[in-house]
Amino acid sequence: MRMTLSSPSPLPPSSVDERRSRPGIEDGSLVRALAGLLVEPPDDLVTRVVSSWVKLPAPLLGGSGPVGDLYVALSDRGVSFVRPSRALGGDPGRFCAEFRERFSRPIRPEPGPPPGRLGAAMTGLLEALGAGAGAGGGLTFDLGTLGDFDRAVLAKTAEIPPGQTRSYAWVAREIGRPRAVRAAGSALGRNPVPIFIPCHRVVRSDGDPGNYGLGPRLKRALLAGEGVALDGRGRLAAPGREP
Amino acid sequence: MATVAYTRTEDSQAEDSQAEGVVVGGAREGLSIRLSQDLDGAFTDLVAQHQRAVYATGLRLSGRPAEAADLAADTFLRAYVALRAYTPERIAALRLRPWLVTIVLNLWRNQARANGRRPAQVGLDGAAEIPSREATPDQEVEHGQDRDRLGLLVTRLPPRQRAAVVLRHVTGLSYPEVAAVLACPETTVRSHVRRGLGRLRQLMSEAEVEEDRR
Repeated sequence: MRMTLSSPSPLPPSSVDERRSRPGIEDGSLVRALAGLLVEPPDDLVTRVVSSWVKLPAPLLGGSGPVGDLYVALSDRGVSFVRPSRALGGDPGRFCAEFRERFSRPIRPEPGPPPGRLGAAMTGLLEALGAGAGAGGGLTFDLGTLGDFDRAVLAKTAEIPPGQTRSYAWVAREIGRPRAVRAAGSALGRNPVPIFIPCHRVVRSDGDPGNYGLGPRLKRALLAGEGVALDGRGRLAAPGREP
Repeated sequence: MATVAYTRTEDSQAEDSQAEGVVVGGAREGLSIRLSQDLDGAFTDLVAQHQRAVYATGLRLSGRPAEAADLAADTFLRAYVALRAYTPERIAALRLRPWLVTIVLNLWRNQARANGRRPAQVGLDGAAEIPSREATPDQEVEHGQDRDRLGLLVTRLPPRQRAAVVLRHVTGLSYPEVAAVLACPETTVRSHVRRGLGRLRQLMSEAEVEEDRR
């Protein structure tokens, strides 16, 4: 609310400014004009500052849906945080609490996709995931809180097509850090957007599927769900063939 | 969006506590109380209600629209981090507008210092001179141009006068609030405002003389 105009402050009569000022440029009108400089931001800041979240229902996540429902957080720049609902006891409050702990950023307590481009991209994503495809098609990610190395690891991982795997060594090599194999593994363990960025498709060179932030069992289930051949012990049936 | 590295320099800590002498206490705002009870539930309202003041303050201080949008978003993100650490009592007693404006000011000063920049002295459309007053068919367009011209002149004020004039007459803080935010005595603020307004009137005269000549 605009405050009422103050009365002009009394100026000393010998003020140079008074002598020089033209008639009409009075204190009152200048003050009013300055009040008019209080303009709205060009875009609503709420969507820029406060993140949104949605729950993606399991049936759309491809057949048997080993993952179950997903909670997905989005900023105005893209998907920023993903967690299976099952791991959080189906409690969206816990998802929001984890988000706030991890990012120290505000998120709306109620679900709802962000308006505009990202809202539409979310719908496209549901369809793509339902068809077993990877994330893409207009969906972007907000990985601004991650370091350069983590972002490079995840960007490379996002290129792995569904139904295929690559080794941690491959990822490290591809980002120009061939000796940073363990670091690549750690970065993948920190992946804030699993499923969307398919870190489950990164496996050990020896055929052991390796670790997974959401648990090794889920990793094997996701790989099997994509048609990756696993033997009776849950190891890759045909490791070692990759570009 | 710029990453908000929430490093509290000694400067900003001192300023914040001085600011709190006035921005805390007194009549309690409804929104402050709601924030103290449910920070996340009420935070969207905080942004919605104060985004104009925060954005316009940053815009009139920096003179750069793109920077002002970043400044405003970063202000609210920093405010959120701070509020998460405050006790409910402290939140409930906050005078939100001066408190937020203190954050804008600190961020603006840090940015200016980091970039070693002189204050922007270009018009909002990038022109280095005041745009000439062309014949306008539309009152709104004319108001917009007048606003741009005045906004440009404000950026020509020296930093202390600019801050005092913007906080008092654009943002609409009271003199005690401006004094708290700027961490200086009220008499000094009044002097800065008086001289800033005088300088603006002078600049406006000079601009009109320029136009009459064209």
